[in-house]
Amino acid sequence: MNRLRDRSERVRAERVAAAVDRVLGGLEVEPGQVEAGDAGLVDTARYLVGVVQGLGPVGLGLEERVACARQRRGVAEPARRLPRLRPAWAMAALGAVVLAVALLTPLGQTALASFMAVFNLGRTEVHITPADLTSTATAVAQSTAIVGDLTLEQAQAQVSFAIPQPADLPPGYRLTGAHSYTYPDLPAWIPQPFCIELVYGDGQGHQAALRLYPIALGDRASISGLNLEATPIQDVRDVDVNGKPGVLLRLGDQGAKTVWQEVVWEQGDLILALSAASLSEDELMRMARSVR
Amino acid sequence: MAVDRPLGRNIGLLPASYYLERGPLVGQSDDWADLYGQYLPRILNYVRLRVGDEELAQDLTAAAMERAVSRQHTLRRREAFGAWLFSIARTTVAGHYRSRRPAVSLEQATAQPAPDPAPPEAVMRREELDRLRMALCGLAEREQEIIRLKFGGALGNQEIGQVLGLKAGHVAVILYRTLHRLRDLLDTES
Repeated sequence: MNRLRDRSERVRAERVAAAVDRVLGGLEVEPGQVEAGDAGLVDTARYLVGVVQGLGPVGLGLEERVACARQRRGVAEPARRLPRLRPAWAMAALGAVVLAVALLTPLGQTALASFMAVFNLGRTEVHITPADLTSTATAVAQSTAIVGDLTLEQAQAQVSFAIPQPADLPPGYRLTGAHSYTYPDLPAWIPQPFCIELVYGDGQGHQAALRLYPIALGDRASISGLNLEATPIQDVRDVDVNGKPGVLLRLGDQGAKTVWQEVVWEQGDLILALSAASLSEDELMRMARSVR
Repeated sequence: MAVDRPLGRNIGLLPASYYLERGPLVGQSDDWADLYGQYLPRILNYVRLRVGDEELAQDLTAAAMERAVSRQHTLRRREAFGAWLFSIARTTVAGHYRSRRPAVSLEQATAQPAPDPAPPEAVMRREELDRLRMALCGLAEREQEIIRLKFGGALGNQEIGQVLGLKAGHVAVILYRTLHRLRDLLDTES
């Protein structure tokens, strides 16, 4: 009973935390984002943000003092430290030797190819590594995302970019839903939702999902890489999506009836990831190339 | 309902099992000055919530930033810059309180008139800050710190966890409970 209560409180806490981050980011809290009993906490958060905003900006004097401190030190980059032998370095060296041996043998090369891959999409990289996601709990526990169900219009209203859609859908497929992914643990200045997902289905349980990640995170930062952990990997290779480099990943045991395929590429200021289990490679790539 | 992979694992909550690299998220700019500039107002607001006096807050913020610049070689990962900088700011403020005992208590300080006449809006803002700081006194030190880091420093739960040595989920729960308590304290104040 206590555990259930703890879990319930944790869920409520994470929802409130996400709402607080929206308030800090100057965003409106969506109706129903927090439970009715916690609505007062959002008001408290707004009050706190208001008090802090009322404290005023940094004065010129303080800015100059900090700038002077930097100039006095003349620090451009962290000072280099003298190398010391550490266990981690020793392990890294050992790993490098193993890697070198693996690269020199055909068997090692094959093993390595299935072990890790890095694909450059232009502005971003996709790192693919096998993951031992043997249980649902493991995968979900690592997630901090809050998923919201939206209409396409609501999704469009939440993001600053025009949501692209595939013009060429497989027979019988239509847009069946849109989701927003909000990461409450990210710093407040990162625009949320972090990712939009469009789901297309044929009404018979076959689905394809198109996920959209804006590369720029506000005006302060951008995504430079995505880690894709997956298993079992059948095949990973470069593909061309309307002249742009992309990566196509096939997941599933060899000989498996169903193979999950995913294609990731950049389009303008977005990273797009289209995935499906029930489409052929040609259908998936045709759908990806029709995204406008 | 998010899409599941056909491998018997519901990873709907993870967008295609992409584990977003936290590293590059913080300050892609190569210019360290920009990075310090971005954090300066947040550090100042955090310190303002810790010390009531504006002049002292500015002095301590400058001292914290100077210390950070001089100790930049201790920053092991650039992506941890925020947590590292706030840890230095915390140490700087704590060091100030250790080195000199406050001449007056918080209650006395808030009761003292401002030395210079200030515009009415500034007085109101001052009063709101004092009211908040009084309410914060009713919280445990760790709870106070989470409120200051969250609202003064505008830090995410992950970063707060790095500063305080807690897990992000734990920070969320403490923040949740603290907001409840703080709301009651603010209601009592008013």
